[in-house]
Amino acid sequence: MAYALAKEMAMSGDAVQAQSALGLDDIEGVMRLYRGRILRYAMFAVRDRDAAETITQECFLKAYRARESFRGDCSLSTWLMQIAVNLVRDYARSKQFQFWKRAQSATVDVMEAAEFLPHPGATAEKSLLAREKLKSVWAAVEKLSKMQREVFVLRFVEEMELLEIADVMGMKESTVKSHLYRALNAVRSKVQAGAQAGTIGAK
Amino acid sequence: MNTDLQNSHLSAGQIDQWLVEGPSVEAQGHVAACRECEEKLAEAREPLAIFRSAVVAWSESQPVGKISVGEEKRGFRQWALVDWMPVASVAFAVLVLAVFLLRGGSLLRHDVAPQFEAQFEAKSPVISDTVLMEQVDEEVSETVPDAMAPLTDLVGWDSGTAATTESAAKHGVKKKAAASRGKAHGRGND
Repeated sequence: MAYALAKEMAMSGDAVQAQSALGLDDIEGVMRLYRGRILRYAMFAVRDRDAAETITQECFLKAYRARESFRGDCSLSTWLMQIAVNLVRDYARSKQFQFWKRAQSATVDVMEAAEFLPHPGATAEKSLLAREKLKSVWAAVEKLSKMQREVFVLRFVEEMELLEIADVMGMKESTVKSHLYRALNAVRSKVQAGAQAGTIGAK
Repeated sequence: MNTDLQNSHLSAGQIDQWLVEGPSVEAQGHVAACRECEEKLAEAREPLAIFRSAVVAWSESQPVGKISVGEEKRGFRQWALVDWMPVASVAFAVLVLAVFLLRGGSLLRHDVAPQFEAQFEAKSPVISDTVLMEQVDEEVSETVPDAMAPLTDLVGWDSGTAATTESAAKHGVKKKAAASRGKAHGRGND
């Protein structure tokens, strides 16, 4: 009951109320609410599915253990995201990350993600176009720098405000904007190139 | 910007600005009135929306594992996140120290023993000489026959006591001679 109410509040963007409705003592409920958000960020930050899942798990464990220190100065999702950012940084400093970075494996395949594209009532042609666009954006995001990728995901997937991103990432708002403009420019170029290639291929 | 938007359409930069920073009042007003810019904006938003929906759907489909908050033990994955380098360095240092202490200890025992032996040997001539002299004194004093007993005093001879020792010796000889004469005289009387 509490979980349903909290989920409703979280969906409507009222994370602080969701937190108070749920409480950090119910870490499993909090996890069900915010796990996807943390996993998405971690996935694109470290580009290793196993590591992303580990970071996600560790994030909620840390949050639970430090629940006394959460005073509600920011929303619960922002606080959780801050923990995740720190975990990703710790991980990125580790030798293991350097190894996997070279190995470039275990990342989520775009084709796998494409399976989850919702296409209610879409024609086959529209679905195909959507897949092509997803591939283009995915490829562009993969090639972004780590910082650009993280900021891009927080802005365009998590739809966080610039100030919130700056707070979570520990950087200036102007730096966040700079990363976002560059990332967006790279993504748009890739999408346009993909669209042109598709048009030529169709001809 | 206002005059620009009244005369022309949104540029790529202005669309990016909309997407990154949110819409300005002017841009919002223009898009509401300009069908072409509305389409351009929707076209720019579409790939991002597709990306978002696919990623969100994927992440939400991932099974939620149980979180074990009660136990402080780390699972294999948590251990995998540990930066092992400092741990390995400390372990190696402890190992080296242990080996050094063990070998050093035995080396110390091997090295120090000869030193003690050398020191002992350095002191031992004095000790052994003293012991030897005492043994010689004892043997000499034990093996001297009764008849030569007075001579044993000569072992401890010194100039201060020499005269008394000599006179005592003479006196002893005279006493023995007198005794032997007395014996002989007694036999003659028998």
